[in-house]
Amino acid sequence: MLWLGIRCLDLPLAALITDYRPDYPLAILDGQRICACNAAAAAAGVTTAQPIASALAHCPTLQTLPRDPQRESVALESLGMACHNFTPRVALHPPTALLLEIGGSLKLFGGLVALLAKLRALLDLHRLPASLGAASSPAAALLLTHAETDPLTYLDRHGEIQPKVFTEHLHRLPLTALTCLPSVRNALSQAGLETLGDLLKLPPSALGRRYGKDLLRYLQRIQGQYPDPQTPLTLPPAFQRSLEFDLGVEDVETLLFPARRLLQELSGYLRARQRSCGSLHWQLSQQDGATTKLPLRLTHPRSDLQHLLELTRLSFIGLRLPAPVTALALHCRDLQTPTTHQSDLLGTLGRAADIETLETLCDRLGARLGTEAIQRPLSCDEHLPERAGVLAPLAQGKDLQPALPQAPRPLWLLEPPRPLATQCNRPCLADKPLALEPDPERIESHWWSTPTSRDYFRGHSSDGRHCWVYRDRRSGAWFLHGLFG
Amino acid sequence: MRPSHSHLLQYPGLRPAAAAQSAPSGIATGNPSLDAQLHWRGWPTAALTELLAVPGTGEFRLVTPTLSQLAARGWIFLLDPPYLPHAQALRQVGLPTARLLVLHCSSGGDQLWAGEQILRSGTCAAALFWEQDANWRHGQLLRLQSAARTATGPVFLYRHPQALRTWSPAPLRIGLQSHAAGNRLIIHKQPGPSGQTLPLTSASATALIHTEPKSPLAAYSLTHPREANREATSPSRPQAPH
Repeated sequence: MLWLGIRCLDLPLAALITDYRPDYPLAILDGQRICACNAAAAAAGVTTAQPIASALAHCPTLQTLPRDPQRESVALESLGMACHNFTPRVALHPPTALLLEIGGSLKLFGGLVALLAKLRALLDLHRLPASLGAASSPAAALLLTHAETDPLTYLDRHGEIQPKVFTEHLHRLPLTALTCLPSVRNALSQAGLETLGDLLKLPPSALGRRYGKDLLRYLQRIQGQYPDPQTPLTLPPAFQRSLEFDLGVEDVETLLFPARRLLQELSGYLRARQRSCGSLHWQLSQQDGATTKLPLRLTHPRSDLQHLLELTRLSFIGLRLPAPVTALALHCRDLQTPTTHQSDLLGTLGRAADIETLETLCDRLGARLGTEAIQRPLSCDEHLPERAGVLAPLAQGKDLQPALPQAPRPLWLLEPPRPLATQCNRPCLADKPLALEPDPERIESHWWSTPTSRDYFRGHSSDGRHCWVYRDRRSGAWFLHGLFG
Repeated sequence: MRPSHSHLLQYPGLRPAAAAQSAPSGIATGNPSLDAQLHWRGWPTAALTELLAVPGTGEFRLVTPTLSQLAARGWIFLLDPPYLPHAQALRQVGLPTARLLVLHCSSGGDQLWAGEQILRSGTCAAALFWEQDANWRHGQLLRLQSAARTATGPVFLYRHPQALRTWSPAPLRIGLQSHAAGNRLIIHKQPGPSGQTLPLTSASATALIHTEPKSPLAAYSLTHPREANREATSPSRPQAPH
């Protein structure tokens, strides 16, 4: 087991400002004290835990925002959701930390270095600077996030702990890192202890007598000598997330960055729940109060991030934004158990790999052209030609292959039929009478609702077109219904 | 010592003259007399074929024998057909409708984009484009032709006969013309001799191909009045294998 602790350094700031990085000095206030500040404020001398008065004395232009614990917990939770892309075991440690068990994922990601690089890219996307710590016990991993050294200094490339360096780092940790036991921490510092190493050197029985059982248990957990079960992050039954932008996003390309972030969370969510999504719903709220809804339907349920991202990009491209977007929301309720191709969805013959390529292609085409743009011809068991052959959306209907009529049907059908002018009782196309072949075919149907009776003729126009025309026997009018293409 | 020109062969349009002697292989059109006239001995693959015709003159039936052959290899895409392709008629000419996908694009740009996606996907056995009302610009035709090079099957582009007046990168251009004695097919452009004409018989009669299997290829017959002269003047053109 290898636990990775992630402690977000600027969570109060990152939770409030998602869309831009302010270059003016900005700090977040928790009561009367600074709890987070940006780089410009830090350069001016503002530090965390500073009272507001002295912060303003250092930096008179400092802007402040009140802390919003609600948004902080949402931000931490969404980071946890996205972390499911790395491991199924994610535990939150509010207010600012989370734990991942990565021992089982190292092989999949090609080693610790590659995994950490991917994780850092994710943290960048969430605009959350964080410090990492790794250890074989959860408590030690969380503690080591205070060390501010890269885990690669005490782990080798395969994720094995190098005992000597590791112990050195652990022992060097200041006791201020013991955030979980604030009362004991003060008592220890008054006793003249400074580092964790000092504490671990003392006899446990004496420590227990003086500072209570909790400290002993904690020290045992750090050393992996006492069970430390982690509560996994609970997942909601449907995925629904939104990001708000204070400044508003004006162009579609920029919108793809937050979209990518939401999709990464969705991908983590789907992975954790072992589901695929059949459709997505994007919702863009604009400054003028209007909302744009973009549904994305997939030919076959999928869960891979790259595919979903590509589809989102294609559906965003054609978008016209009259006003800046202030919030972007992603909903996904259509969760399905992932299936592999056995008998295929499109009702065709073919290898599973081919069908998957086709579905990827259809999804891409549908995302840009609209899902209704892709159709396939279906033949139905009907007498009227316009009902016997139709175009149906990809996912709908099954071709039952009913018996074919004896007489030839035209490859092109005009829908609706085009009324034809007549000269001397003969139908005309482009003002010239058609040469009709004898022996019309009579098609009668729907006597129970809209009685239809037609005589179909094959005709030749003077410009070389071969037509399929009919005379409506009730009204006597002529119509062009098809062309032998 | 002769310098080597092998690096030139990487350009798609160039091929050594020696190779031109042997006929490149195309996909049979289902009509031996048309095959015999075509440079590729059939429809060219991985290249654009332009068909200049008004809908209803037999322009779709010209390719249906090839399409029903190719349906087993992958899917057939119809982009912006002028009318609704009738499923019963498609089955009558032997096309499995489950292998056909019809796309409707709102603009020429979308159609070109979709075409490129389809041709590069590797699932496409054949693609048929119908030029939308706005004429394609040269650049768009070039893009389509370069996308067609990546395709595995034939790519057909249906255009209005008036487009014949403008230049096109397609290596094969075929026109359908109405004629007193039935419609005719004219090979307007291909590598080697062009200008041959073939008569097409009545459309409604050939639509019966599927129901009357004894005459599947009787739809066309070869008449080429100038053929004897052409054979005499251009000895480089190889004789069709019969």
